[in-house]
Amino acid sequence: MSKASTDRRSFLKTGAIVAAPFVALGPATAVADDGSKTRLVRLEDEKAIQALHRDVVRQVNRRERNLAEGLTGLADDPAHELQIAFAEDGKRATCRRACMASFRTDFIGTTTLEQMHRLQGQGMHRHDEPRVLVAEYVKGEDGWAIESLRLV
Amino acid sequence: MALQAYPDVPLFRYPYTDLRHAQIAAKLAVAARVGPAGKSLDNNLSGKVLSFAGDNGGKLSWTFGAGNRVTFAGKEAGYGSLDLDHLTLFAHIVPGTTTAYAVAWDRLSSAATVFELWFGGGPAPRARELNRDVHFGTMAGLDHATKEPHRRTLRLEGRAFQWQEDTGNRTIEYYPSSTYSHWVELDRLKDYRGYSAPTDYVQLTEEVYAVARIEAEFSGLLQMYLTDVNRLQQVGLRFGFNGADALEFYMFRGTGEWLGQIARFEKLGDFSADPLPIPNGKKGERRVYRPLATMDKMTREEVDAVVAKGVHVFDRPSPMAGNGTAPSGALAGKKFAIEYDGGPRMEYRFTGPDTLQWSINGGDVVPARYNAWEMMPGAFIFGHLLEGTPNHDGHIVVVDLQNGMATNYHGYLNTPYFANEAGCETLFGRVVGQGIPDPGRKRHERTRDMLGRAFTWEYSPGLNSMHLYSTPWTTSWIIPTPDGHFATEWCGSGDFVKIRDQLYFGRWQEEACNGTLGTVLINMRTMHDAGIGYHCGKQGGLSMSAVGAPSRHAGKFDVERFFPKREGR
Repeated sequence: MSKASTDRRSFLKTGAIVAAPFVALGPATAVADDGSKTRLVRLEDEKAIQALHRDVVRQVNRRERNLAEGLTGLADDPAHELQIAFAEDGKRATCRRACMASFRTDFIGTTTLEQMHRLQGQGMHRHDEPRVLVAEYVKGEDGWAIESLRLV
Repeated sequence: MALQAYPDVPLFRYPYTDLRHAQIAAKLAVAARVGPAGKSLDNNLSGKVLSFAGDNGGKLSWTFGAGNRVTFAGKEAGYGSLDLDHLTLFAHIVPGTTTAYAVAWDRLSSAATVFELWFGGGPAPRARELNRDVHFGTMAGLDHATKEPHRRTLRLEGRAFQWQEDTGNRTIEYYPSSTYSHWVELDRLKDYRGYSAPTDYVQLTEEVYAVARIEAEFSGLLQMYLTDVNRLQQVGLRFGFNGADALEFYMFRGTGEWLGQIARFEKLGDFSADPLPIPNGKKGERRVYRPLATMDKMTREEVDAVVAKGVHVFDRPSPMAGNGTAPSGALAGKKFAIEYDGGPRMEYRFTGPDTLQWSINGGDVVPARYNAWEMMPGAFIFGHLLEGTPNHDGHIVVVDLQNGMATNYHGYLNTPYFANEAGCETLFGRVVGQGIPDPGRKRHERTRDMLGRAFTWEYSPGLNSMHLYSTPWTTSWIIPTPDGHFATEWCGSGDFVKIRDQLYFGRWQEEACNGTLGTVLINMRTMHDAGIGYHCGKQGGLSMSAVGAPSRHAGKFDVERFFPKREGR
């Protein structure tokens, strides 16, 4: 499981998170205070999830993680923002991110069409598709971790 | 088999003699001296000296003497020439060699295209298959300089003509590609099949083109001509060895008939015409599909052994169906029989969305895996293997539960040529089951609605083709380049059955070419198909796999009148 540091010190060092483009959905974590603690925890959670998301994208692009057959790269779609929906208890979150997914297909099969494509020098094909990376995260004692990832 | 100039078997079945270079040289000797035959040769170049300067620096010179004499490279030969308005085609063999030239010369502009032709030495793998290199340039020493050089073209792509030579031979010539063509001989060959071969297309003027087809993989003959597509006239040369190993070296005039135009798919404004260049290619090298060389050729024992290891029925993703129609589970729970006319009675119980039980003629009940697709309400295509049959049969069936009719492309192995090559018979029948109407004597019927049509198929990203249904018995397929030029082409036996209005069941057999039986149920309303491939090879064993793609209707050629009706089913 991938993990990200969510301690307060790391958050405060990079306190610009408030400007990050995300939309937080769902109720705030149930913490009894005047609201500032709740907001701080939420910001901390969001920052941790963003870090995890960036890790996932990096891992895919380094081919360390495979989310789909032939996937060679992921790039966040700048026209969309990261969407995070927290569970009631604040211990789970669903994250959706519009991406451009790059695929490579090698036509190495024995079908006649693949053979003829190879003859034409077209034994490999690259293409991009708009997809959505859907991630489920859970918050444990060590912070947030990835539960599942899907490219839809 | 006795040698036949124009075989009465499909060309891909004919054992063309592997002529030796020395045999070819001997057969060319007389023809080099005499020159090409022809009914109405012009041979009017006497006194001319034509010096060709090629764009690549090559220089060639011909000195024409009296009669049909020409001196080339210090050797005197017989030539033939034919004029097509202000263009001249002349041809000769270089004595003492296996090289020949066919030259298209524009007498007004001085532009010229030289087809250098030679037997043996490659790149063709057999000496009898003619090689060619195409040189563009000008005839120097003339007063007028060319403004419009000859060049490769895609302007003919998508057209088709019927040409009739002064020999009487008629041929339908389809140009669905910019590197291949597809032809149907209507006289010399008897079975009205189409064949495909690499072809050069050169634009000479706005109206006149040079087309040069070499019948690679078959006789290796050249059929080349200058064609005025506006006046529908041609002058041409046939050169090479026919099935009886006799040299054909004659020139002809012909008249044509325009048969239509299908769509081209290059980006608008793209007139580039050499879509498959070979970097640092050898002289005369081009991309020629040689399917027999790459095909697995298995014995009956090898087929049995590979089948015994296990079969693959819709158990893995198929690149041929990445964009396919989603399978249907709607047959699950149904039970019916199909009674084929002159064929078996098949009992079916569909036990799940991909499992069924079949029995043939009341025999044992056998479980099998299947997939089904519902392409119109109540009209399904499904396929399964018949485990335990000696020829490892597969049934690919379209059932119309709204009218009780069924058609089966019955595939089988152990055909006489290669045991792993799929054979196929078309069976028509009726569906018998509760709530299914009895069609009486009515059956699905073969159709010509598909004849002359072309459809593109986008199977998976980067894996596309176009079908051309060129005869009532031929399916051809053409492979596009990424920028939309259609290029390499091949073909096999086809069959076409109408299921309902705008719903057609077609097939192709990859004979002497990978051995697959491919089937498609084409819905022209949704412009999507679902089909099934039945294949046996060394690598993948015996398989049934999905075929499916969205389609574009590229158009339809008007060719029905050229094909006789064949009676019976």
